[in-house]
Amino acid sequence: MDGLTEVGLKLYVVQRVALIIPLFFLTSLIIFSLIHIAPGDPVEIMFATAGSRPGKEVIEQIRTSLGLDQPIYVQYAIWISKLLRGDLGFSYISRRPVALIIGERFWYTIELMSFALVISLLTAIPLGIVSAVRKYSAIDTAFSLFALFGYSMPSFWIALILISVFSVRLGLFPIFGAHTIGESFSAINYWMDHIYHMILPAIVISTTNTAYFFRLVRGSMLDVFREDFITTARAKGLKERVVVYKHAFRNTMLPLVTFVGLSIGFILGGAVAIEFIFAWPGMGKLAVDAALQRDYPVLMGVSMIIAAMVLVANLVTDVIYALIDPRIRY
Amino acid sequence: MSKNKVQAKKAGWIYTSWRKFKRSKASLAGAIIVAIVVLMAAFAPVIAPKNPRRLHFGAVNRPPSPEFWLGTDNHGRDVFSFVVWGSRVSLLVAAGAVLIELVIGLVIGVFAGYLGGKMDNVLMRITDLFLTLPPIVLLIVAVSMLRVRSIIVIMAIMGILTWPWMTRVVRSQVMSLKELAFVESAKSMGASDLRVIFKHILPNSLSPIVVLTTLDLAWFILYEATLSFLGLGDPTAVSWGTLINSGRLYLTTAWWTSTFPGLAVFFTILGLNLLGDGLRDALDVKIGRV
Repeated sequence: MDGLTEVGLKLYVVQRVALIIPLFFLTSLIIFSLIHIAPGDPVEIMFATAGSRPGKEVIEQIRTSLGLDQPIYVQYAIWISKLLRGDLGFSYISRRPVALIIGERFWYTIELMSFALVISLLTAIPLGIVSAVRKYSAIDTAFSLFALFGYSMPSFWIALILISVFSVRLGLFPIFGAHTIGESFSAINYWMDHIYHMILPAIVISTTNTAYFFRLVRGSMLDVFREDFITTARAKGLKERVVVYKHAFRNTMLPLVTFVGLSIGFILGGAVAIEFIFAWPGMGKLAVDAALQRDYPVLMGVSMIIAAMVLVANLVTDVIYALIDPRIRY
Repeated sequence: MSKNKVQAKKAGWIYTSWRKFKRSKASLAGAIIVAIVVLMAAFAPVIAPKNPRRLHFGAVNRPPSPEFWLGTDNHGRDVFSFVVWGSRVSLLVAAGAVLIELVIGLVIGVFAGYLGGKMDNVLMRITDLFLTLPPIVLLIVAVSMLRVRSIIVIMAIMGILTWPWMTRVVRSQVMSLKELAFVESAKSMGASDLRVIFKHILPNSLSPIVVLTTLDLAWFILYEATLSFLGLGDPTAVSWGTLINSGRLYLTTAWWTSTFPGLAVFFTILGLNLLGDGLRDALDVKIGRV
């Protein structure tokens, strides 16, 4: 890459990063308004969940102290300025800072998602290549059928089936949680135990995505096989292995990268129900619990973090795309 | 005469699409599965005369038997009746949500695509935003704020939150069609914008809209099941997700409670996906989502 294009790329990245800021603000506006058009007063809900009911004056006092008597745009301004300082407010239920609660859960979700993503890619890419190379063979039909089943099955249902077979009946995996409780481990065993707990939920989360990635790899490999340069490569007498991996597969990387980047949001969304079932202490379970208890500050915080993660993932995808696509030069 | 020609052309288009569709066994299988689910919903009282809500107190967590074909759950509800009647809620919610998505998506998509310019830019940035958040997270946030979680409300929320999916497809169709010669000539002959949109642009945008509608039905069925599974659905509705959730804690003792409604969700989504894929190939549509 010469000096000029490098400057161009840097400029592109800067522009792309700058675009995230208005997007983030507008997303926060959507979430804020979604929660604040809710019927019912947050303070009343706060006490309804606590089980006690104080007098009218006390409620008014709390409303004032929380700023709920202000007009809605003032409330938004206060909320967003606090958010920028990392203050996401306090949970209605536990009264702990939301930022702290999310901080405890954040890495659990990241770990689980990354693990699931790695499983998906390691399965989908080889299977997709094999299917494309042996188009319409029995093995291709079988894989394609599996993929179809994979994205038609509700993942929470797959989770229940896997739990009942592998955890309950065969006793191979733990049923829920992220650690074995009540045992002290050495550092290595602690991590082994942790990964052991992660296997089943990660497999479940990866199912749907493996199916989609497989379809994409197979489809784009087949598209590439029709291109002239593949015919040329074969005509040159190159080994089929070289044609498939060096020529065809490299060209399917581009759509794959884009698709994986864009599916981060879907993976996060899918993780919500799965974390709930496996009692995995991540942000997905936190969101469902908060929704069931109407713990709005927590719900708002989690949604904002998820939105931010998706925005960053999209940004990274675009930058990687610009880096690896030989046609895009700035 | 020209009218006859147009009709012949239209019939030809439908005919070739139908032939392509018929040739693929997968899409026929999808159509048959969807037809079965629709019939199940329509004739639920005939197929399963037992009231799905009735609690059979003497028969809790019973395995499948001649009396309870698919067993009973932990409250003594008949699983077979619940599965059959559950198809009504699933299809109703999905169909209603798709209808709302269609109306909003069409209006905004046509508006943005046809007028273009600044308005288009603003509208598209708004759809970008809605596409940023995973739909299930948006749904959970929206559902959590409601006191009343009836199926009508859930249906409305799903439709309202997913309009950007439809808007994008409609917009890109309108954008590409409005540049074409026949639209230009209609305009130059003095056809009003509304006439151009309804007579020329929309009829020619049908294929991708039909395909997206079919695939979105599958998504809505999945989302409704997920919400009721998480306990965020309509608590009074006979919904597959609710039954899957009630069997969740009895996997060892009463595997049938979660298994059968789960199979129902699976087959319905499978049918819609097969049908959608078949239509996509037959109508020769390219849609962004894989």
